[in-house]
Amino acid sequence: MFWRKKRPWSDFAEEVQSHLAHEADQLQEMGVAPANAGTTARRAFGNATSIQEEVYRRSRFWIWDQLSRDFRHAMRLFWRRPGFSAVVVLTLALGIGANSAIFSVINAVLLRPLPYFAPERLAMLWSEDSAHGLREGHVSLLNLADWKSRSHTFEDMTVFIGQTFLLGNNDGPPERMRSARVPANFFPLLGVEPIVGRIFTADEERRREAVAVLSYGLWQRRFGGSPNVLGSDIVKDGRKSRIIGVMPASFHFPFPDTEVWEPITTHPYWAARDRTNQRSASNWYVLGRIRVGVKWKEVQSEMSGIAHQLEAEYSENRTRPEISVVPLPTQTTGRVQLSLAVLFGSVFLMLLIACINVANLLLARGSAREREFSVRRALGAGRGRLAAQLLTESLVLSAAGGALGLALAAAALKALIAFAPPGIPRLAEARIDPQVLLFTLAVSLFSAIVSGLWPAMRNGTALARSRQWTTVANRGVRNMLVIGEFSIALVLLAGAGLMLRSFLLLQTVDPGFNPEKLLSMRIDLHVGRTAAQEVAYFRDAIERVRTIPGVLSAAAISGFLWSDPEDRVQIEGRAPQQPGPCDDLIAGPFFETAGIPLEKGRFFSDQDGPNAPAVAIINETMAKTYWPGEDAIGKRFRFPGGESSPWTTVVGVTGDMHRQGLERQVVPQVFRPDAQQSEDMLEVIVRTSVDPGAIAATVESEIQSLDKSVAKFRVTTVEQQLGQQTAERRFQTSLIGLFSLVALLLSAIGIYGLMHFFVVQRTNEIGVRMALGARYGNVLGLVLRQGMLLAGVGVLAGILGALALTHLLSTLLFGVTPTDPVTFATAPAILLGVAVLACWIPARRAAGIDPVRALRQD
Amino acid sequence: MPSQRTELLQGTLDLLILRTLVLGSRHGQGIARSIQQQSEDVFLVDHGSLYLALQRLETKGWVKAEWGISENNRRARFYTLTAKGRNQLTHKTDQWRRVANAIARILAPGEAEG
Repeated sequence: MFWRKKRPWSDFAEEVQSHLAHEADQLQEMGVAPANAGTTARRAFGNATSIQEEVYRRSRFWIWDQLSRDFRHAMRLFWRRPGFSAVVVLTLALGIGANSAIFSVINAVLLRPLPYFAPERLAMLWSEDSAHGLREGHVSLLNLADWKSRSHTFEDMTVFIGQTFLLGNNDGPPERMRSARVPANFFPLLGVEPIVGRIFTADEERRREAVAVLSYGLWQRRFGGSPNVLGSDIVKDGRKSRIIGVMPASFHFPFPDTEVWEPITTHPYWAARDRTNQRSASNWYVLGRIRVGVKWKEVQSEMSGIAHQLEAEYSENRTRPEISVVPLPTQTTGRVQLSLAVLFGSVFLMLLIACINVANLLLARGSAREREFSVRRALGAGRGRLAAQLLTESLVLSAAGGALGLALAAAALKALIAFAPPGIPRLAEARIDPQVLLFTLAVSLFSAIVSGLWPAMRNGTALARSRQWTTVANRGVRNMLVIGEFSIALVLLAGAGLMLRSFLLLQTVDPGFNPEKLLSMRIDLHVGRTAAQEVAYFRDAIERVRTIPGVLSAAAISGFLWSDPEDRVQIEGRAPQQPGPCDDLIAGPFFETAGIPLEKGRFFSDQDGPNAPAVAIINETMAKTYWPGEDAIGKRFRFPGGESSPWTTVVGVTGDMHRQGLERQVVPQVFRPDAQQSEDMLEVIVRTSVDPGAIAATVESEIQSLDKSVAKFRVTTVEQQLGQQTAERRFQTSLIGLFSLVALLLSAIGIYGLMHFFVVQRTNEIGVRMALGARYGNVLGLVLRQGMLLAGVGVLAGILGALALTHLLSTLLFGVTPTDPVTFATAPAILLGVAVLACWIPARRAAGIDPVRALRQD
Repeated sequence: MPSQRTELLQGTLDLLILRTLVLGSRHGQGIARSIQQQSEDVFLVDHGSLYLALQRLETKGWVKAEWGISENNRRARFYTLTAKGRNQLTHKTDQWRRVANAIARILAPGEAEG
């Protein structure tokens, strides 16, 4: 069948010749004179040319023919003006490449399914109490049992909890890592299988056996990826566990840094569950798999119903009144969804501007090619035919732009991954894969149509008019394009401005302590020490560090820049209330070391020992929250719960410190002396007089020499830690800033090109004006006015657009409203300033026109 | 007798071509002549339009074509009926007969009944 379509054109011509010859033969046989036979045969055949054309048109492959001819023509044009082509291809490559790079991130982070069986049916379940600001809270085992037995929308639920441990190392200090304690149904529920060995059984879980499934990374790192690892032991916290399996490299659930999975029954909380397991004692994570065909709405409403029942049945148990079901994909990436969407939006706007610029360039060239098109039309090319040709040309340009853009995207993606802040899930998996290729193809096609359609339609209609000044109509379209360009640029610029303002405002937030020259290091003693030993260890460690030259002071706290509020607190004389303040233990001269001022009362002293009355220092916010208008000193509170703490007396009030991040509000805070309630892991902070990075190694070895069995980790400066908190914002702000800078540049080029064209077109007119007495300034003004009118209209439209769009950013902003007047004044000013600069060059050129020469041109 | 000639009815040219090819393969000019002669010069067949029809039939797969040498010792493109074309011919012939009969009955009722 197929060969028929490809029947060459000459073949049919030959058949016609053959027909005419046969007919002539026959006519001669019938007695027609040989001289007349040929003519008669041709007459009988009819209009051979039109028949041939008809056959050609019907043979279908003419579309190909035409396309390949247009393609060849486009390629010739492409090479004939390499400068023009390069500018267009580069502009498009920039737009397409940036889009592809961002898309490949989105593809990896948001679109690619999680590596579990049917991940769309997995969900995390949380206990919540929104009235008390508790979101995504952990779950109690008693509640979980009820959820499981009462729910019909879930196929199964599983539970897990994390625990850090020290992995024994033959040479060097132990390595601190995280294990996940899970039940036997955890792996089947996720639908994952080990690549080596097996997972533990329900029996092993029940018998609380010390068996361990390793992560792929740990297996490779510590055991060289040998399959003989099965049956051997790893030493965790000084105890042996038998290795029974290894999970695949892609499996990191539930924690990104999970290295070992063990039976949940081996977790200390499990052993203590009978004693402490109340409905309010919530320590556990719950993961569920819903049944096939069930909708999330049904699941959520069923679980809400169950929460209501439980609240009514166990009101005295203070169970949390709400359950929230969060689909696992949302749980994993929900936090970055908005950021990525905003990035994608801005990069798309940038592409639009790039396309508009290219459209403008093509239109300009279109006017230059008027003669060519007039000739083509005169020779019978239809409007559609010309449009098709122009579209083919822009397709060739976009294809080249897309190819180059893909190369740019690959490079940009590497840079993105390298510079991205930590914590974007699965970012490392981003690569140029088939989906990204397809996306790039689609974007290139889109660019071809957007940038080529206007010129194509314009040339169609413009040519329908007379040849005389089609450029006037042409200029109308180009004006519109420049206006559009400026309005889009303003939207981008306003968005970037808001992000930048937020970032700068964040820098001005007073953290409440002095982060300069402050070293921080976590020390984990782990199990096996008495409270007194733990207290003594940290006292010695602080003492030792303090004697290092270059160290001004040292102290320790349970967590310097990180703390979660307690569930409840009870102020003496009142009922327990939710939520409670943050509660941290400190050792040594913490406030002096951190640079937090004491407002009232006193610091802890050696007298605040284990047998002395319990004391606490609180922050200003706590004093204002719980004892407004009163003196907090001498007041008492306690933490009610399973093992409720003794009544604790407030002895001091300090200044507020932003511990949960600069962007968050300061919350009430309690500091207690570690001598009164020890802990096995503290963060040591060291105030130095020299560069803290330079002294870190000395501090580490000093601590090491005190006791080799402790693990030190996360050795950083506090400034670095603060930097990480703002890293995500900085990254995002720089990307949007970069996109809007490119947009600004492209818009400037766009308006420059148009005004330049305007001046060239009106050289004559300007010459006449000057001959009639127009001054330098008049002509300059004429061009500038024209340009600024366009820019102004574009900016106005852009302001309206930005006002409509920036509220989408509101949750990403800090300290500014989406309609921040400073941003909305600055962005237009910048854009108009750039427009003035861009118009200045053509305006100068216009004003410099020599009227004599200009008039002589005609 | 040009006045006696008549334009072909829509769609009949295809049928005539297929019918001509039942007896064996032929080249375009042969088909044209054959139709003209068999219809006793009643049908006016524009030779050129014959090729449009041939092309259509070829695309539909009712005929296939191959270059060969004609009885005049000239190169010519020979058309042959395919199995599909043969079926079409039977089908179209039946259809045409029914139409012709019906029209004949309507135009001369007495004759048809008699």
